Amino acid sequence: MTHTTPFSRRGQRSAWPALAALFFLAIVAAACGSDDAGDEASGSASTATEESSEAATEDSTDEASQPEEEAASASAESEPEPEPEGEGEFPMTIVDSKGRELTFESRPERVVALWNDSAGKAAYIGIDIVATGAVDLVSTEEIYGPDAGIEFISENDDGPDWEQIVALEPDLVIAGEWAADTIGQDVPVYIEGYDWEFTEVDEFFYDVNELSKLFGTTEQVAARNEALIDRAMAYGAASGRELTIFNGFQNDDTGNAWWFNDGGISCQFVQPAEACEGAVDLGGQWYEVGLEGLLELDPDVIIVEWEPAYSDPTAAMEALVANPIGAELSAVQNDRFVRVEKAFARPSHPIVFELYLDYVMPLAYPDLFPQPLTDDQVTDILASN
Amino acid sequence: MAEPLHLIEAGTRPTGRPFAVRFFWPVLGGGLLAIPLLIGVHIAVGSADIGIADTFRALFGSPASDAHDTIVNNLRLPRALVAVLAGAMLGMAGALLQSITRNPLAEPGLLGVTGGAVLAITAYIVLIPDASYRDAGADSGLPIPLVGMVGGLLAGATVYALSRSRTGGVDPMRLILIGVLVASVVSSFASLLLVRSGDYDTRRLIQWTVGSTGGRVWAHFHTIWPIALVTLPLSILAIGWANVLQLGDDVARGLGLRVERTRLTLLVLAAALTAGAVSVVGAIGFIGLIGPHAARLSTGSNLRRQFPLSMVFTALLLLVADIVARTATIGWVAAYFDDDAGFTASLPVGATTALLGAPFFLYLLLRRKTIL
Amino acid sequence: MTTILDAEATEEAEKTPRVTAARPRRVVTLGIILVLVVALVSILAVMIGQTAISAGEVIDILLTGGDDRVKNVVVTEVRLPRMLVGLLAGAALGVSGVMLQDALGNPLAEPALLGVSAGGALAVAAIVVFAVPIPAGTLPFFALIGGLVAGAIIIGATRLTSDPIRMILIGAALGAFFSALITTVIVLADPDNLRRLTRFLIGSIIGRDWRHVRIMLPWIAVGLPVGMVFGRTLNLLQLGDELAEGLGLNVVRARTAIFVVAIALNAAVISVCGPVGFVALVAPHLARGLLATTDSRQVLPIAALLGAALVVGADLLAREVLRPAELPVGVFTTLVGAPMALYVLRRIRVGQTVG
Repeated sequence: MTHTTPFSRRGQRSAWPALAALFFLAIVAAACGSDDAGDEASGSASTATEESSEAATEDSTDEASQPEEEAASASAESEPEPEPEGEGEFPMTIVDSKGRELTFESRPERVVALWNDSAGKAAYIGIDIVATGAVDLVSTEEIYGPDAGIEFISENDDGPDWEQIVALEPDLVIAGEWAADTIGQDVPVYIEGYDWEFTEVDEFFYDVNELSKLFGTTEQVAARNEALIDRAMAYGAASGRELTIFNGFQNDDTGNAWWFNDGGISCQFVQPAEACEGAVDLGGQWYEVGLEGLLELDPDVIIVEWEPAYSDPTAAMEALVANPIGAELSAVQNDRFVRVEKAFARPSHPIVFELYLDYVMPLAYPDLFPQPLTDDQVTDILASN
Repeated sequence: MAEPLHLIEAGTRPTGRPFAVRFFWPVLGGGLLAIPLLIGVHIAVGSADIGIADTFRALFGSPASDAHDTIVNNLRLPRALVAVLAGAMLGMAGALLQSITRNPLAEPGLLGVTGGAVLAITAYIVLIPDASYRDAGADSGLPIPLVGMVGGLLAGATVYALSRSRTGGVDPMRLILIGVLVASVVSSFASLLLVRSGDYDTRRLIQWTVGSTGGRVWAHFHTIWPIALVTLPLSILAIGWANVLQLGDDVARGLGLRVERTRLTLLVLAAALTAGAVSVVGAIGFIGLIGPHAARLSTGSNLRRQFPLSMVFTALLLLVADIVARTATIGWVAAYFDDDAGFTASLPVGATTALLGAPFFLYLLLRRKTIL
Repeated sequence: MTTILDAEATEEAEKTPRVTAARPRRVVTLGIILVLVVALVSILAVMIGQTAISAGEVIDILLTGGDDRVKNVVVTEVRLPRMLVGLLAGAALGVSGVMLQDALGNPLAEPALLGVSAGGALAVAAIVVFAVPIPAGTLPFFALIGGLVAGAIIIGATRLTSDPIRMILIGAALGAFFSALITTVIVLADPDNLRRLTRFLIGSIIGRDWRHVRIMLPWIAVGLPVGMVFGRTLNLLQLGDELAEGLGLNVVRARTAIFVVAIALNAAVISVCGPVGFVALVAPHLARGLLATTDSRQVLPIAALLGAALVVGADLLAREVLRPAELPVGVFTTLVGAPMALYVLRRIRVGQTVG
């Protein structure tokens, strides 16, 4: 048995490894080459962005498209009065909610705020933005007016469409964690926190406080924070009870009502005033609450989140009221079984909190707050406590 | 025991040699040439409106603006290159597996590696706070691919351990059954975790479970090319072994091949190829099945032709699928949801490969029952 | 078709390998034990909960309505229908698992692995995401149709091949195709719909009431007995196609009939509970292991009982461990069933269904 085995006959197949190696070397070489080029280019791009941002307003006439131009000029008009010296000194370094340091050579002019929270926070600190992503909690039209010319960033399967963002040549992108993968792509990205815990006041206001430094609006933002806290405290004090709020999410699409408890998010606004205790947090989304579980929790207020576009909870709510177990619930007996549009039931930034307090408290406590509290009432209540 | 493929095929197709056998070099050359061409097309399309001329100006070093430079060189180019490499790796893995199992229906997912990688990535993103953030833009050592690689290889090792017989050998049939079972188990666990994830994570995770090249940047390319550089040439070198192994264990043994050891080597190669690709682009389905299949249909069962063609064909397939994924923004759906202006979602490439690949696959099933 | 066979079958059986039945006593004993287990789990499922209700009270409520209105509602409107849904689903899954595994000679034949679950899920996904206006409460029927269509495609694509590997690979490929379709649909969804879908894909019987019992009951009331009748045919199919054919069975027709019944049973479960993982895979193998036989006539009823006990028991755990929060039962069947499946099937070989 001395004949050669097929796999030792090197001559026949010697072309293949060579060819394969060649092919891949070619690809890799091409890739590395263009990579280096790209890196250099990107390096120069980011410095260029920083430099050119000062001159952005003039340049925009040449390059920018119509809406951008409008936005730029709008931002120029509504620019707050010059800041007192010492506060707004550039280069300035801010630290985002993930602890990343971002240094700015000048005040960002072209801000892209992705998603609800980013846009809401941008609006809260009083700056104009050139583009935004999905906004359903607070529409940019409501905040900035219909003619602000704010571009809309669409999503692709990886989240925001970075090509669109880069094409807008922004000098600051405010975005959520989701954008993380593509960070470092030549655009300074501020990662915002997703803090729903109003009780952690410092953390809750961290993003707006930090960003306001860049735009020299720290004082206005601080005052606005103060007013929001006062308002929350006033509602809490006026309600005068230890309340439990159960924030339910229901879905009758599959013929089932599913009840979730998101830890009484709604409750957290008035929590600092010790007027509320969120129903026990059931944690992640594996969990549901059955009718019996609802009875065991027996919350004072049940808030049903709903989305007008997808479902109408009326039938499910009526069924619960008609059900003998449902009828045992204190919230049902006291008529504190209310529905809230989902957009309002999931607030996570200050501007929604402002709106939410006045929206949901009268809904949950019609006896105590027939109307939203006025500023004077807030002052009175806080003074009397 | 199934017959070696070439015997089946010899019986079913007596007439003439397949096209790509006679014109093998032109076909391979054409495929190789098509890759850079398609990369060009891939780069030329995109959501930002850059003209073709400007695109190539940016690509070759004189961009019209910094934004063009970033978009073309830092967003589009790495994505195309990642797609090529991932396609080549999946194609090679599929070809290896089909020859090891002597079954033309085998695909890389059967090793459990794909599911394992996805499960590990899912667990990492869901259970570890700030996990997505940690993946951010580092130039080296992306945690998610690393996690995926480890998870994929662990699952692959589990499949191998479970399918070993008492004598230490691996029966390819058993390997398939165990592989399917393990894949199903790990994907069940992954869907448990998926329910556990927050809203934002869920969408990210779908990317991994179905496979996507979206948002792949240079960091991802730098993760995948070293793996490709090691595994692909090794696979090409292993063609001789695989060819002999295809003749059946007894014949291979008679020819002096150490069958078990060889099979393990090939399995490890296939697992490494799959893990490398999946941990960067997610579980892209069907192309690892169809690419090698197309290669075999056009070349016959000589692996010397089939392996290189599988690699090239699959790379081309993934590129084309990605071009489709990038351009198809499903206008009518967007129109349906026009209250929700964010609705121009493009498809992840994995969905495209399945949507394009599955009908082709069914067609093959119905048409060539002897081959499949 | 089974009756014609009797005479030759006994003759043939002498010289051909055949399925050896377990001793009747063993089957009866096991059956009685399992009936008791199912009864015990079911009673516990009605007794245990936010308000504990004693067995006496439960009987009192069922017979006379009881005194306490709330307890009455808890038993009759909440716990009892939910328990029944669990029983029906478990039994249906167990039986359909046996049928698919034996008919296809495939130890892994299971709705999830064959793509049937994904077909049902796809229908639900499409309806939820595109907000298709369907009458309230009819969603389960669409899930059923989705499952049946998927089953039909599988039958067509595989032509019910007798090669189990081919079968399973095609099933895997079709499953991947449906999953891709689901993903495509999901990609179009906003995160809230995603949440609904991922929930649906887990399998749950939380909050199921008499409406759901009514949806499932007809399918399962017909499907279970019909399934049991196939015991003998399944035994023949286990012998392999050629032998079964030689014994006078029309293999393709038999396999198609079995497949249709099994898929209908599965689809009924999917439509109400979603895909409850691994029960249809594990229960048959457990039954065969306990009986030490692959005789389908004996395995079928035992697997039905095991399936019912598994689902109701798992649901009891799922709702009690974290009370008042509840877990979908699919979480438990997967956490328990998946490792069990790996263990039971660690020695599988092709064409062999015993665990």
